[in-house]
Amino acid sequence: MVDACVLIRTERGKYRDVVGKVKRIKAVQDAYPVLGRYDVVVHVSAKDSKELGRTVMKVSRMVGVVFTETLVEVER
Amino acid sequence: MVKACLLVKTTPVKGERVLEKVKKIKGVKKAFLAYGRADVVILVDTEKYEEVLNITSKVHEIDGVRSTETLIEAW
Repeated sequence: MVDACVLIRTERGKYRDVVGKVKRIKAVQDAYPVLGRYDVVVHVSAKDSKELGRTVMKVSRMVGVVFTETLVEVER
Repeated sequence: MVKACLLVKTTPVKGERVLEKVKKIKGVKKAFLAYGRADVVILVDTEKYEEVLNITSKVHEIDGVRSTETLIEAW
């Protein structure tokens, strides 16, 4: 399993439907709106780095998503 | 349930040790070493807001932690 945390900045007021849509993606464990420098935090848990990459691409291309930053787990 | 995501910057060598200590803190659902802007990412799941704050302060006490950024669930 590879985990990652995707931090999202959304268009104004769009965080609710971004969270709704992101939650439907298979590898997404959790997604919730946050306070701070980002609007939404997404916890992704994929079976391998390929699925992780696909999931992150899907999230970052969503309508309402303006900017994403992904922090990927270091596999040891 | 109140969730939060803590982004922790550690001094270069200390990442692993910080991770081990972080995993022992109550309320920490998942923690991992990360590539990118943060060295350790902590996913927290607690009953109350205050618990997130004392987890943040516990993380601050760990030797090797340089700074933390807390993204707390919006409501």
